Amino acid sequence: MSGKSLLDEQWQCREKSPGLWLGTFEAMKSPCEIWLETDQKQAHVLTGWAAREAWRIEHKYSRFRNDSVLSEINRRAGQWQRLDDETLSLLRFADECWQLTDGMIDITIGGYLQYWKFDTRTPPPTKAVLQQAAASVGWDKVQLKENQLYLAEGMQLDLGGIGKEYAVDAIALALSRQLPSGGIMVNFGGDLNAIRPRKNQQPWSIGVESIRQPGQPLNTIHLKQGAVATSGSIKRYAVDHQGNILGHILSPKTGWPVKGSPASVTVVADTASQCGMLSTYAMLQGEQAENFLKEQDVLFFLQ
Amino acid sequence: MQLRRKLGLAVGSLLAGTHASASDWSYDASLMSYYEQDGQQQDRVSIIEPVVSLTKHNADDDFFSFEVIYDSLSGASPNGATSSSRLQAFNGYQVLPGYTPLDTRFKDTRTSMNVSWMTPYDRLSRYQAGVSYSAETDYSSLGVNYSYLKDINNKRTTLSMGAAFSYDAVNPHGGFHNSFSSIFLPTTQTLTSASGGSGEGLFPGKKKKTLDVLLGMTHVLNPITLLNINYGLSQSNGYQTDPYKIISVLDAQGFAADYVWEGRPDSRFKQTLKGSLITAIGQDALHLDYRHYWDDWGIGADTYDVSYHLKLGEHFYMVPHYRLSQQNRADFFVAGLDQSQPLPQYASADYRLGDMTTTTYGGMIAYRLSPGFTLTLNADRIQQRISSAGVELAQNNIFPDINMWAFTIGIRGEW
Repeated sequence: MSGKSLLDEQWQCREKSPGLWLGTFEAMKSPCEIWLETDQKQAHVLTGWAAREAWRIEHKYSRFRNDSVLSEINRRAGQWQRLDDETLSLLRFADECWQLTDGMIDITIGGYLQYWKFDTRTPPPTKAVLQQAAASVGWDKVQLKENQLYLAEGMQLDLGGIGKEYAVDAIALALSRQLPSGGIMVNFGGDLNAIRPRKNQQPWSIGVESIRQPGQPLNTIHLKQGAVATSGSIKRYAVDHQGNILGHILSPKTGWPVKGSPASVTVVADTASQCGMLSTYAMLQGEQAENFLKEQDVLFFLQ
Repeated sequence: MQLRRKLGLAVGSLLAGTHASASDWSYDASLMSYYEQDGQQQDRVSIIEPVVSLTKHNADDDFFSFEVIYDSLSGASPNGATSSSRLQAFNGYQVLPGYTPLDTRFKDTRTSMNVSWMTPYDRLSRYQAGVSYSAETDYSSLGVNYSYLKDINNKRTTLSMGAAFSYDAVNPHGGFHNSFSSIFLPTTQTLTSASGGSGEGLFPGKKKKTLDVLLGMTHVLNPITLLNINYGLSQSNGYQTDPYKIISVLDAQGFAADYVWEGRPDSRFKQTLKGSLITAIGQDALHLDYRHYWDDWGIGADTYDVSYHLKLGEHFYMVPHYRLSQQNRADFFVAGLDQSQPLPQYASADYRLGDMTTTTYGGMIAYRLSPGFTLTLNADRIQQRISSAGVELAQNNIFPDINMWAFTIGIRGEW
């Protein structure tokens, strides 16, 4: 059975094993899975809701849609603007991440990103372009007072590093409030939150995809409860004129990927948002990524 | 380095601050049945009350709610006269010796509707407003209210300021009577503006206007404890006499020589101070309430309320509660009037204005059948002891105790 949403998108729901339902749909350029231990009716209702919620968040915070709330915010750079509660929470979270990572996680990175195209063939922007763009990058140039935001003219926010993990966590939390018992896991293309263990206490099995052999699991994580997120990808990169592959995680200090960073970092911790921040920050540590992760007391995989 | 833990806290506030709520409509429907019996085994009033409410939630601080309540009241209600060792005859009914006189003709229905909504002004302030209307065959009421709420202190403290106004009109069956005129005399008044209200206006009958002012503070004492303090002022002007209550006029032997209509002041100023403390104990919660009330009729009351929200598994919880209220009487409260004494300016023998101790034992059990459907059952046993100390007459046992039962079955949920 499948359902149609207002956005004319599709979702499916089927029973994988007795009492364990898998809802699937596409959102945020990823295959999305909702695993629920419940009955057929509830599984369909909740999958439909989760899909619509994922599409709502995607639509609201996409940098690539002209009609998104984020695009509207970026267009209104140069004037004070009022934020809705959800956007305000996300920007406050971004603010905390910026502070906790000494400015390495910075959503004003959009100022650089607009000159990059990670389509596996387009060359990177020139140093001159990036130097010019630097003037409109830096969270310290942003003013956030109460629910009012001021972006200097030319600034571009990008919530690509926050939005998907936020959607995973928020949807998992809402599902756990609606489903009083039974296991729940929300997995959006490998960024996942297993918010509640299965009734039989069997762990959820999560494959960490191998970069060298796509489709092949590098490792399988057995997780009763917790979250996983991965930063870095072999699908999104640019290539310079010497043929070097340049990943899509840019340093806000340079507008360029950090040298010596792993191709991919997977972190296992409590929430997808937390894992996402830790894995992205690890990427930005370059060669120090592994040491950094060891200090964090988390399970991680580097490729 | 504690980055992991700090990020965990940041994620916590991110998710707490956003309510990706899956259900935005909630409903609540209940049916209450209430009856009371006095210590003389006389059945008194009984009430059947269905309530239906619907709420549209946009966010925690943004909702719209609509409620309809219907009451059907029937049975007998004390008319205010004292019991007597003689048979007593009133207009249309008689009361046996020794029994508290009840007017058995009491029957009414009430329909009330309330609309309320909350709307944020900005991230730290919002208002709540409402409009209510209720109608009985002999009473109409229209009310409006508004409160402004402001979060301060990193949202740990919420201050509220509000005002409410209500416009009521009483239009009794059988018309109005002059206070202290005999119930056997046809003294029905015509409504004139000089008598405290005209027949005109929004509703027919004599009017009462009430203005309430409320000040409140809610403060998060620690992560598991919430303190709420409210102070309220209320000024009512207009007709506040109960048009159905009478008073016995007693002769030297303590027998009723006559019965006269009661009379109350046309102004009342009330004040209320209330404190509530809610604290989490594991998965349970303890609620403690104290309320102090006083008015310029001389009534004072202290009410203590304790309830415990006990979680019993994933689907079940129960809430036992206990409430004790002690009220002292109005200055003009009497059990009866002495024929040989001059009439007071105001007098009422309505036991609800007397010295009274009310004890309530009860509890609710709730069972969540599914996320969108919770069944609740509530039972309350209420006992009222009315003291005649200070208003003694020749007879004993003027005010029998009253025992009340209230049962409510309800469903609520979301979709």
